[in-house]
Amino acid sequence: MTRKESGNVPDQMQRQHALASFLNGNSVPDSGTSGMRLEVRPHYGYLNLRGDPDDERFLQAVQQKLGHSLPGVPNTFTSADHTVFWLGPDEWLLSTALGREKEIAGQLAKNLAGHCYSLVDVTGGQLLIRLSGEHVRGVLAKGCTLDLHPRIFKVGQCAQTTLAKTSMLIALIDDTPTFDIVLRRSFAEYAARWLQHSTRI
Amino acid sequence: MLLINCPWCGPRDESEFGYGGEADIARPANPDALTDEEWADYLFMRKNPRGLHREQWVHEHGCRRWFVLERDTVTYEITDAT
Ligand SMILES: [Zn+2]
Repeated sequence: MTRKESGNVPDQMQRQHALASFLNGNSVPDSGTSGMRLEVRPHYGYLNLRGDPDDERFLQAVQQKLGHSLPGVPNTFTSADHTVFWLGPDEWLLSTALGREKEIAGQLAKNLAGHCYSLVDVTGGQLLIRLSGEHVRGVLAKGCTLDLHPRIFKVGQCAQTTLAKTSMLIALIDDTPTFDIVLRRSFAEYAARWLQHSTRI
Repeated sequence: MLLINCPWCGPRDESEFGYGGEADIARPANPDALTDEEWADYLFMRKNPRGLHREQWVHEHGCRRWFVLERDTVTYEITDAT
């Protein structure tokens, strides 16, 4: 077999987020009509970091670069320059402005040289949707088994769970309420359609 | 539907978990030294009790950690999560 030279591959592939075409052809829920606003926020880069939470040197090496410590309390997140979500006892998701993740990954790798760790750029695999408004909890309750009552799920908490059978990371940002949900790219349109459908009265 | 207490995440719906079968089954240190019956016993034979059962679960859609809990196979009551 010989490799065929292809003359028509564009030099620069157009990078689109997973809901670009969905947003073109659909009206997304907003607070006026459905009591819930849906906002696609594709402008984040993501790094998945794993390491030993009991290793002080590991924690310090990370903190030195990020400017704040990794959340040690399960199912919480911390925000400063970047946002860091607790995913597991030795696993975190860092989100930052799209494009910055490469520089952060490079410097983290430098700081962590000699440690046992894993650092993976997962930017291409995630999409964040922001849901806000008075009806968000009611809409989510249709497809999420987590108890999102304000007495139970508070600002600063996050959780990996499911939304209508697809995996999501959900975080409560403020008491509006505003929830950020991070979805797998390949399931983003499915989830968006489900959310759109579920806001219908 | 079971409500399962993940040691890290607290009570979560059963749909977030995967089941890993009977707990405390150790792989024989030297498989070559076993008879076929002993090896088959390790691979295939399980207790399947009526009553308390120690079993492995994984929090698949959550923190992805494995843990052991004790469940009553008659009442489905989960009595212990370690
Ligand atoms: Zn868990």
